[in-house]
Amino acid sequence: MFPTGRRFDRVTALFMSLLAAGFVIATFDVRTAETGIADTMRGGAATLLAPIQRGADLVISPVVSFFDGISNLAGLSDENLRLQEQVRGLELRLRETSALERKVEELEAINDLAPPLELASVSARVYSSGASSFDHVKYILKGIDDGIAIGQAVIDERGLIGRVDAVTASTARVRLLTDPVVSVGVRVQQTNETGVVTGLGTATLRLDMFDATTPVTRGSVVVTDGSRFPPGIVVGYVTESADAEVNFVLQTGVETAARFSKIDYVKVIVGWSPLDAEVELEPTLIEPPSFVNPAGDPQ
Amino acid sequence: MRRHKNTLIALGLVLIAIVLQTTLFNQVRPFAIAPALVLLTVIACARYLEPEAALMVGFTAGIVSDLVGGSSLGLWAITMTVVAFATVKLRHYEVGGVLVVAAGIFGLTFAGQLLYAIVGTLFGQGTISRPDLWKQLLFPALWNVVLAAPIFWVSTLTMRRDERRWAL
Repeated sequence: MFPTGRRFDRVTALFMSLLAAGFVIATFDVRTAETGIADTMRGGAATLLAPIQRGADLVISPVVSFFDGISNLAGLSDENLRLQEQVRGLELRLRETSALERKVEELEAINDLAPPLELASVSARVYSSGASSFDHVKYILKGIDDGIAIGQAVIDERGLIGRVDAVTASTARVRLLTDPVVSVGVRVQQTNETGVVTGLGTATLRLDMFDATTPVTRGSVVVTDGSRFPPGIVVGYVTESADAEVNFVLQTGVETAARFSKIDYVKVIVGWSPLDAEVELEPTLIEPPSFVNPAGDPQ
Repeated sequence: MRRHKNTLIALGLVLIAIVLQTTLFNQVRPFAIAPALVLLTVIACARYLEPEAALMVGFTAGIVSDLVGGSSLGLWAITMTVVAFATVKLRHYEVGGVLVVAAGIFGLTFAGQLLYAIVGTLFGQGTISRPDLWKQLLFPALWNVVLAAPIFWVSTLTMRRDERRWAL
């Protein structure tokens, strides 16, 4: 095919061969997703690189934190005043909440309601991310040995982060909500209607509601619907009000509750499977927190 | 022997770049976008390698990036092989000066990532439909221009400029 044997031809032949190999590997990987040798190789690579990445992370994290601290010094004074104001507000709310809690306890006792199920979870540290800005994955330092399995929901203190999509004995890969290949079944709390959010590569997700009959308003809380993840986990907040039109898909944006740029620790929910959905209680109504700024910059 | 030594050094530099990309730039992400350090390292090493070795280093860097990333296996391998090939073909322009080198790094990074977005879309990754695609292409290219000085310095130091052989 390349009979001349000249240097240029050898290089071009190798180039074409490598391109062909790349396309064959990619096709093979796509066609054998989650069952093929590619995932075994990924697991092997993660296992081999994890100790090096952990070591690098241990060295890098304090240095990055130090420089972060220096860069934040200028803003600390204003931040301090703002926090003092916030503490006063929270103290007031705490007193109100305590009164409400007593009321709820009384009501629960009256109605003989069981408290919401406490789902078992495993805390994990994020030690690495994907190899490019196009990758929406994080690696955590917990794996099969800690009860982690593919498909489990991953959350932080604000809401849903993503799901476990690959796991080794001691590490796991979390595919983030923002990945365009991730879709999650959700429910808009204010209307109680369901839809699907899909990642767009940014902090804003796309919400599609196929059978919506009532409009959604900006700031509405969007939670998981319990089809794949435990119900009631906050996914985000509607960024734009949208009307439901008959026979048309209601489409709008959802700002993620989780801050993907600052994920250090996460929790993996290990004590739930979709089969549990039928026995779950109706989740309680969640109010949008004060930090929500649906029209603001990506977090 | 020397050739193999340079290839091994290049592979070592690529491995370090991958570790830094997945750890350091997991935390340091100005405008929420990290530089394409592995791509930059492939460009830096391809300047000094035999054409065949440059292609193999590009392909290997891509495969390892695919393995630690979240996309289909082979996509970065295709991209980095093309970038290595383009670097081999364009490296004689390096004598044109700093501005030419900066423009070359910007162009190769931008074009490489655009190629990744196109190939990724062909394989169902949905990369090209992202609303902030321009940021994903532009910012790493700018970052790479800034990082080129230390990375090129390290590659020159370790692979020694006097051993450079140009494409025929």
